[in-house]
Amino acid sequence: MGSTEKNIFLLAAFSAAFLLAGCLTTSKTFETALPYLENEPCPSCPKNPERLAITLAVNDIYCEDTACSCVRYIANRKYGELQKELREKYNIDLNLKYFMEPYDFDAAIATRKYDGAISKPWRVYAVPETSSYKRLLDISDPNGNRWLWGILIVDKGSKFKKLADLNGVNIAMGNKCAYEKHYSALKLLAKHAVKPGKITWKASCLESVGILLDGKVDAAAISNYALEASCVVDIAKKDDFRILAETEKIPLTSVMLDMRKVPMRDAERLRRALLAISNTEAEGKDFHGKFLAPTHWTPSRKAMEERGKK
Amino acid sequence: MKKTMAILTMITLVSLTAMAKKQAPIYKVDDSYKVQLGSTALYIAVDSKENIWGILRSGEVVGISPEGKEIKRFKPEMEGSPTTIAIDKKDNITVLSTKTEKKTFKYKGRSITRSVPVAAYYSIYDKAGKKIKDGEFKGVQSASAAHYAKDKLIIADVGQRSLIFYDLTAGKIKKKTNKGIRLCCGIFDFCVGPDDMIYVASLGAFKVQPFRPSGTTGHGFGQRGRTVNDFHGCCNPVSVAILPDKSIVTVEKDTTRVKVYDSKGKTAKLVEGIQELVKGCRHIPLAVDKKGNIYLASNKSTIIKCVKAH
Repeated sequence: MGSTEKNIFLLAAFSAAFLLAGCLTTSKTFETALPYLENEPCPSCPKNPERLAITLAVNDIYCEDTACSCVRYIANRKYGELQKELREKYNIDLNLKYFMEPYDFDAAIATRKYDGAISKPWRVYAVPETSSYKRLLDISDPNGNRWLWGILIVDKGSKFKKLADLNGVNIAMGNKCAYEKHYSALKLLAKHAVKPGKITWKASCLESVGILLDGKVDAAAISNYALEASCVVDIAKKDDFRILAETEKIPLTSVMLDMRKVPMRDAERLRRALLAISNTEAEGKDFHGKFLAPTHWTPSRKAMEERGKK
Repeated sequence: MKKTMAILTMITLVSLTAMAKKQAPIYKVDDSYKVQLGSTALYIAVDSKENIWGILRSGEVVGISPEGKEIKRFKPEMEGSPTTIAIDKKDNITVLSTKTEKKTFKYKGRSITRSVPVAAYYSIYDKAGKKIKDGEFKGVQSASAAHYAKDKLIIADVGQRSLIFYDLTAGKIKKKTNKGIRLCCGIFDFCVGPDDMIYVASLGAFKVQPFRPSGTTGHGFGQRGRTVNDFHGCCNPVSVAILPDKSIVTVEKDTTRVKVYDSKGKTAKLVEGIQELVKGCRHIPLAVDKKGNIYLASNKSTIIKCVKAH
């Protein structure tokens, strides 16, 4: 067996093992990342490869086609230059379908007609039909941050000074489709043995901050970026609040592929091409971010069990 | 036995009648109504003869008969840029405009330039296009929507994020309120119901927020969510109107949804046949006539009419 054939065999074995693992372990631990072996040559990246077409659904908080116009000064990512370079240099047609409304995105993902997605990972994995999705790459925000986390905030003048003060206090938290302000926030409270009073579940940071400003709750668990890169900027200033605690960090945005639809060699080819473009910064000024090898992340068992629940 | 049956039948009939009364009517797009304006309507209003009047991006005022024929077009003089239109009880047309200035702020070392409203103006015309009066609204920064209610002109001032109750005769603000108003994307619309209640499209709270004529807040409805009774998108609804039977019409952008709620705002029905009216975070002008027809303006310079389906 030649070295190229051996590599193809190894990658195929990897692929089969991960798919099997994905199917068998959805109720246990579920690794979302597709491992990346940086120093391994890409056996499926020939010099003149045939045309590869990949279609992804996009709900990217920093993309100007999927973000609210009120944060256009920060959410101004464009994929056009990247698509052009992929087509011209790598013979890859990356077709993107933009979804500004996350619920439409969820419904689109559930149809399984896309080869994958670009979004917050849990946005995809919260949809039960995505057990065969793997994170190919992560994408950093325009400031180089690759993490997403929840923050527990109170009004600047609040009497609550530390996390332990939130015992018995009414809190606004996110729904199950927002990992960082639901599962991560609950985990944080449990870790510190904080038992809040009434929890008000809200579908958006905008609503959670709104009821915090109205005094209907005393604290709110929101996404770390919400005070700068969401519609919250239109109703409040970052300085209006104090952050009492931060949750664990999880990947912010990922390129994910449905490995039942995309062969491993094609996934690897797309990944190498995106990393190469990102490393040479050839994606131009319009992308405002960087592709990164995916970090390890397994959603909690509870989260996986509750997938599909609103 | 017969008596019991009769009583039960009566109870059932009364219950069914009450349920029918509570339910929102079903609407659909009237495909036979085709109006092309030549420029995008920024705001539309209905006069006592049920003609539709629009202020266009081109700065023109256009009048459309209930049958969809153009009855008048004129270009009013104004300071700043046109923003909205209001019809008084004599069917005179008030054209409102806003003057903006470019302001620069810093975000993480970058300079961001934005247009900020600084002053609002009015000019009042009769239906023949003859000017009656004009001037500046003292103490008002912008006018994104306006409606007459008894002796006052109520103005949506997005600059101050307030509803302004303006006395045109005295040339001064009578009162203003911002309680319960949460805005986003520079969109601020409201309507005055048949009972003189004011309903604000509080898109930053995903709510329809009523105000009594005195300016105090009533009980609003709405939240972000997946169901037809909820509002979707990054911030919605963008406009609201009250039908003669007190059903409530709401309009959401990206993706466009037009819904008719029952008078309590509890259950909604989607208007059938609605296409995407705008792209991105844009206001969608809405007006209703006394017969209960719904009119919407699209960014393709058209007016869409919706009528009761049953």
